[in-house]
Amino acid sequence: MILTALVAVPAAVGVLTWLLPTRPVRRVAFLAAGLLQAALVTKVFLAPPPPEWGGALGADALGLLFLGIVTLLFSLGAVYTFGYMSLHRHPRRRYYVPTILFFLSSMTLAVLSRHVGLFWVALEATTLSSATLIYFDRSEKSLEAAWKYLILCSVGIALALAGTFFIALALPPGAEGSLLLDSLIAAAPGMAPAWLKTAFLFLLVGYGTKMGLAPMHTWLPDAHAEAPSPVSALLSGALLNCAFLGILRAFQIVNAAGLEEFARKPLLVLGFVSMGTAAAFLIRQPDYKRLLAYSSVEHMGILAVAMGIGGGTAVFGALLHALNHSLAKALLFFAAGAVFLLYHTKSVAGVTGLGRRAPFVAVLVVAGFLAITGTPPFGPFISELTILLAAISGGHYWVAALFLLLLAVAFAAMGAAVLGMVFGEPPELPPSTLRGWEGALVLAPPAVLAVASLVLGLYLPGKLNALLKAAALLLGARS
Amino acid sequence: MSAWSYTILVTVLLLNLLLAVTSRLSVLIRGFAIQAACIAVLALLLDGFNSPHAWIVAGGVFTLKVVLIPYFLNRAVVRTNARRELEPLVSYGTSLLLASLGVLLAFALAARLPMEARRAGLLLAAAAFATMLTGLLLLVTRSKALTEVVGYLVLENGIFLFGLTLLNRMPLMVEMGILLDVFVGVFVMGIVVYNIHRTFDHIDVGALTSLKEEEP
Repeated sequence: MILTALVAVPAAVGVLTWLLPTRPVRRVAFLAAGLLQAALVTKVFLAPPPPEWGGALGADALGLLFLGIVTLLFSLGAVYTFGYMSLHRHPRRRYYVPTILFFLSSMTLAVLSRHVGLFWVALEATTLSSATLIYFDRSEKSLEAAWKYLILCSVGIALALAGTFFIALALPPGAEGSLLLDSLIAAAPGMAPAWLKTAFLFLLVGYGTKMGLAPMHTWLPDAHAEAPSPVSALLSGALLNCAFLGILRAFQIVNAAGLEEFARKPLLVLGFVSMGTAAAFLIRQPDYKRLLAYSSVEHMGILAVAMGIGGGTAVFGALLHALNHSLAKALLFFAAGAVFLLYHTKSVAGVTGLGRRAPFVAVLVVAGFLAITGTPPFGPFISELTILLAAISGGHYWVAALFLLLLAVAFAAMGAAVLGMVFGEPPELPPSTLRGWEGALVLAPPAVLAVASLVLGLYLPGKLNALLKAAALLLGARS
Repeated sequence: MSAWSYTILVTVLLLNLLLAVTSRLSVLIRGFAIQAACIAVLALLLDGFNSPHAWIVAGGVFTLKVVLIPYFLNRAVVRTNARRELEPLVSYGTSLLLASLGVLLAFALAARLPMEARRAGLLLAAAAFATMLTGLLLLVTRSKALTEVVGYLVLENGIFLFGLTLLNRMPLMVEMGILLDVFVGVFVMGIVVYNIHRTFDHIDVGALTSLKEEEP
């Protein structure tokens, strides 16, 4: 019941807010839905419920991890939006609150689904519900971004549907019929290997497109840069992880069939291509939201590389890094929204003297920068170190060296941009509007994320550690 | 498989060649719709006329892909004045050649499938692959947004053909979800296409917005 509620409540509130005529009521309903979702998910975490919908909807350790990320970012995003939209002189968009709630509903369905077909339906629904959010500005650029996002992700996900059918075709003739994840994993050893390998490649390319792995990433910088900042935070921190989960589900099946060695090579290659492409575009990137978007491509690459290295430590590191990246990237997009409210430009060159104009925002930006580039004592440092150590202890020295090199390039490129933004003289601008309760609502969510990222860098809570270990175990990590 | 199924699959294969050569959007949309109608009938032929599951799937395919989606697409053609694809990236002769090669490749791929995976026969797998390849061809080589939408739909038709072999393995909810996603997808794409048309009709407004943006 509760899992169904997690999916149905946001959708129902979405319909309700569509019918509600006035803006303040819609906004309060939005905030209430975010907090209600957080409360329900907390309940799920405290007492994991049994599967529903005949086993198609369930919360295993992997699902719980990503459910936690999606819900945390959405609730903080709801608080942030409340302040951001009050300060941002934007045109009224009646569809904003309903669509973002449908977006939450579809992401929740994706992380909870334990049926490969249902997962596909949910992930395609996330594309459709988020496309209109990207076109929020109604500018020519946002229109182009929304179109690219729609067509590229739809085609990518269509290939993933083909991959899903191929998994079913790989089943031996007499095998029990369903596409439930559990029965597929049980039947995996008897599957036709050639067919299963093709299926994995289709799923990797299909969901990889949605995850932003290069060279299928071309829609991502446009979409993440053109969307309003609270939406960018969700697209980058929550949605990319949902697509990653699709690849992990495929990996579970392939792993059960004993083909994990086959699956690792393409993951490693796509991962390094993504890290390399991102590093090249991070250097001298003139738009700070595109800078963050390319950094997402880089981090999705890190996740793919970690899965490509394989072994218990690397998989554990990948899952921890997915969490750390989400916290740090949402922090940065929230902070970028605050910077946009202060300077009314997305250009790196147009932002100077942030340290004087708004010291607290500057602290957030610097904290986010240190976190996302893997600098101690923030969380991503721990997860990147875990992945690096796994590469070295597995004897993959070239992998480790290349990994370090690309991380260093990203650090230098982002560092140059952040230094220029934080220091120097602020330009002549009207006084800061980040005041009062609206300002507090904009600044509190990134501050919470900064603290969370810092805590994860210093200490990994026992329960989180156990959840990550259980999730890594599902992906075949034995150690 | 019955003779009827063979006839329908050959029709699907031939329609791919038509889709590859036509420059008229209305023909393209009709070709897609007929292909979808073939899929609806095939669902019944493969799963049996007394299976309620097959009737629901066939009904869903018919309502959404044969009636509603072509209706919306045709309306979009009228509204955006895009009756012909004028600037394909390759000539229509080359398109036909590529589509024919696609059919050959599809048979080669289908013949390589393990026997048990070819439950519904070689021809179905070949038709499915060929339709997917035609969809990708339209997506890659055409420049009009609406033609790309049809390309996506043709690709999806091919994938759905594969899905037909799994009718008894999928819960109805998932099949309906797939259809609904495609329908809503086309609906949203239609809105975006309409907005692209509107934005570029008033080119002066477009010029103003791009001046405000940052130059990379």
